[in-house]
Amino acid sequence: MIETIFMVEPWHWLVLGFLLMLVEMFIPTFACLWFGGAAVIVAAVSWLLPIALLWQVLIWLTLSVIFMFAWVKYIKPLSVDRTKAGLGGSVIIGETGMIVIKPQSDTLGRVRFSVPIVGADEWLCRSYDENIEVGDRVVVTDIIGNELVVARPKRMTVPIVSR
Amino acid sequence: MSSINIVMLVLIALIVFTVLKGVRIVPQGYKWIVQRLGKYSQTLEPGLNLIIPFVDTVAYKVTTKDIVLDIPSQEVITRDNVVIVANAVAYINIVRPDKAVYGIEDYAYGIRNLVQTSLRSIIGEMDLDSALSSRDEIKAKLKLAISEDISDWGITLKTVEIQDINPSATMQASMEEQAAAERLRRATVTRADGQKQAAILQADGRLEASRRDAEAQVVLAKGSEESIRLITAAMGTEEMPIVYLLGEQYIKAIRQLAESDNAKMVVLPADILSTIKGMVGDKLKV
Repeated sequence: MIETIFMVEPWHWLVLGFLLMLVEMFIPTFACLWFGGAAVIVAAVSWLLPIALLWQVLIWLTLSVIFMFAWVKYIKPLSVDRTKAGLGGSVIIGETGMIVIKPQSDTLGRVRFSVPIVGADEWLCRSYDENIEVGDRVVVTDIIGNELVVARPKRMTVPIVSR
Repeated sequence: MSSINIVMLVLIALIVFTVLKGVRIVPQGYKWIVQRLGKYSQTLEPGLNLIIPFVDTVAYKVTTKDIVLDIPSQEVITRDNVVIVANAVAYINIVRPDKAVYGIEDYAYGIRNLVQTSLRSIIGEMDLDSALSSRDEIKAKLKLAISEDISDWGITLKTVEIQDINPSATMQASMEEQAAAERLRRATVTRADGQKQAAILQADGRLEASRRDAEAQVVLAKGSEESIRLITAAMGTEEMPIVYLLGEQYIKAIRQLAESDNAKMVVLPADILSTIKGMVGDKLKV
């Protein structure tokens, strides 16, 4: 056993935890923080309860993985997109515009936005819906080359981007 | 029991590396394409992402910022058979990274070539003068022309800017010659116009001057007539006034002759009356 050579005490865990948190600042991943946090908790647990080293390690690893998933599941959704810059042309999907030329089966239509999006305020457009008329509000569902695919806005629906 | 320790250490290593490789942070402005065992599985958006390290690999890191493509210059023949050299710059944006990496081997090369060939065909339908002056029209046609081609690659062409449209060297020389000839023609016409105006004005001047000269002579003659009439009235005879006037003129002339500063020898007739008689004729009965 490691204990015969090296006696692991609670403060070792504490130091390991702080060191891992320090390392987090210098390496570009975002993983050491969870290992560090878990190590600090293990330090507290092993200080309160006498448990074997194997269990301490298992608790540490399990807690780390749990923290990671918890972060991704609960904390990550809280980080909103503060800018749409750099997200590419896909930001136009979901925008609402107004039809100025009716898209028909043989001709492309034209949709106008109140502010320029992805470099233009007027886009050529197509639609699967035959009944769109000039002046209708439409939602962009896809972008094909330099043309948009538009549809009538459905209430309370988020446009689904087909992959 | 060292075996337990070894297992423990390996387990630690496994989990640590799994977590380290499974957490992926994508910077803003990029999207990463993840393949699961060689097949496309997902596109990672900017921010924190988790992937399964054993089966997932980040195959491509695609920028979603605008890309500036320099379209190399090329020789284009217009509809009126003039060779011009045109180059452009294209701004593209990757809308669907998966289509861009799987739809075409090298999208930059593909779009560059598309823009080149489309530009050639669009300018080929135009006359030289309209090609030189209607850049916006060329731009709109270009966007429309390659829109369908790039739709499969998940790329949108934001704009194409024609940088230079230059006629070839010989064409440029002849255009300059044409412009120079035109200016020369205008200069010649202007000069001729000026000369014509000057001639007209000079002739006008002469006309006016002779008109006034004639008027002056009339006035002088009238003055002489008046003076003769006065002298006649004073002298009462017919011949004497003429003799008198001529004598006066004669003496005036001799005085002027004497005052002029050239070498002179003035010969005066002794008998002024008979001299005048000789000048006037024998009608005088002096």
